[in-house]
Amino acid sequence: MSERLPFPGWKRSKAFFRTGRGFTLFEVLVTITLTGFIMLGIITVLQNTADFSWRSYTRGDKERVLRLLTRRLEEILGSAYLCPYIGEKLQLLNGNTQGFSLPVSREGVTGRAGFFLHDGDLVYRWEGIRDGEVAEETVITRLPGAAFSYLDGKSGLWIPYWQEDYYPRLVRLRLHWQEETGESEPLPDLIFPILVGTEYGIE
Amino acid sequence: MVLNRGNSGAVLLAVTWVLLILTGILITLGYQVQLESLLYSRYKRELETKEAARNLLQLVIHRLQHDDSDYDAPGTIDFPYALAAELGYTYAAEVELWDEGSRFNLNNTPAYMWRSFFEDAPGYYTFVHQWFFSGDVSAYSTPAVVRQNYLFTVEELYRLPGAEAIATYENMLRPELTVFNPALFYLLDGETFLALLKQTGENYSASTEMAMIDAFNRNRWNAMYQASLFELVGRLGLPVFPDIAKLEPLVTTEGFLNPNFISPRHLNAVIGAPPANSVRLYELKTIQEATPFTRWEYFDAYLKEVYGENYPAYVRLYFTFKTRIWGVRVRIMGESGTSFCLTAVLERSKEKALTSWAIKILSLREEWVVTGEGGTGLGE
Repeated sequence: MSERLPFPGWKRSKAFFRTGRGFTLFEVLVTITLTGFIMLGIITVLQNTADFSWRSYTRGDKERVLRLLTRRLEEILGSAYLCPYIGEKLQLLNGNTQGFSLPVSREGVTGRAGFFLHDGDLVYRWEGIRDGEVAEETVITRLPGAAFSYLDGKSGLWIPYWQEDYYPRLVRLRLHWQEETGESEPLPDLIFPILVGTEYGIE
Repeated sequence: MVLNRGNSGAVLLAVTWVLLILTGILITLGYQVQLESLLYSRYKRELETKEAARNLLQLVIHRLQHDDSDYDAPGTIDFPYALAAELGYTYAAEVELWDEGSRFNLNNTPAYMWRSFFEDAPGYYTFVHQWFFSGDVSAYSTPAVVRQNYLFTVEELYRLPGAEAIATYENMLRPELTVFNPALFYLLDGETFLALLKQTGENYSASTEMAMIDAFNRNRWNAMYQASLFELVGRLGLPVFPDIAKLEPLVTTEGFLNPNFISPRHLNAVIGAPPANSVRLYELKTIQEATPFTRWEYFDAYLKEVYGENYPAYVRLYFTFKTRIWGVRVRIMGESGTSFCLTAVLERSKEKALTSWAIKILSLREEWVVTGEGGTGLGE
């Protein structure tokens, strides 16, 4: 039975033969290379998994909460309705630390929309002006100790209650996010402008 | 000698399996990461687009504030793209401006003007009259003396029960209607005036209401000259003198209809007489774009051509060449056939002491629309 060498010049050591069986250098190199690839892959996978789960369960969660809140609040505050030519029929923004409502016009339907905090939940509420239809939807839970405040463009002060006949310049939501473990930590304040009613060049 | 002839591929096979499994895990995790990253990048792009549109609106406001031209017309209010580019705004964007105040407002115009405005759409007139004066659209309800309803938005009109009756006119008439302009005192009648008073919170007995309407209609010709609202209302001899401070936001004695933006239909309604030269009337849009009216004399000559020599002199009180209520649409082209559309209504006013115009944002609407279809709201 002839010895089959991987390529010319290749020699097997006698010790190798004496022990019965072993690996060729080529096999060892291939194994090392493959093991390297595997280790690299495993490390990358572990790293990604660690990153991803860290994002998912810590920062990612909070980011998604902030993104959701920003979208929903901006959507309503950006649709604020103001028509100075139809008299005093519509009260503008009416709010306190636990929530607010304001007239909005969306896709041709006018109603009173707003958000209020209830036992750590943020609830969206819609009330149609023409049909009186009322709808409520819990937007997000686990927001203990959240509070709204309103920036008066005339005085430049943040105030906790709003019942003026003009819109506040900004609405702020100060909030904490409660983890599943029960721990809560503060999130950055969310601040939304109300462009409707903003005056430029009026002294 | 043959080494490991029977199982020499086992390691490679195992490694291949491990690699396959790891690849599967990577793809799965990669997909989730990619999804998260896609959501985040889309959100970021949305914010950037919205910010760009709002920035362009600020540029428009700046442009309108520092406008020192003598008249406004479709050709004179082009958005300064050069300025935007200079400031680094390189988005594929369109900015369109129009005179919102020169559109027709059903809330504060008399019903006799509606008849003229909707002359070629009688079904529209019937529907609108029924809804405003009866509170519903059933054909059997008795109309009240004073209107019972008003619109918060023009779109609302097309969502009322029975609005199928006017759906065919929507494309034709929707762009000519608004709710964003005040009542012009010189165009009011007793009923409209009383409806405005009621909107300010005034409440009268039925007999006083009738007396108010009668006094207004009888004496209105004594008040067809340029003066303050207080003085003009004083000339009406009303049985109850209203609270002028409450009325002033709703009624103006300063003409705000711009001859360079008003539509032929609206012009007909405010003049209140059939045109002697209809062809010339319907050339109005072409004239506005090609050779806009720069002075009253030119518009006066045009009115004489269309309505004859005898149109009333007080018509002059309705008009201005400087637009008061502007409509602005900023459209930012997005990917995959959608675009972001910001529509705003701006009120422009100038105090005598001020050198630049003051601007107030009256309305703002932001939506994602399918390019080419316009108006289809796309949420998130």
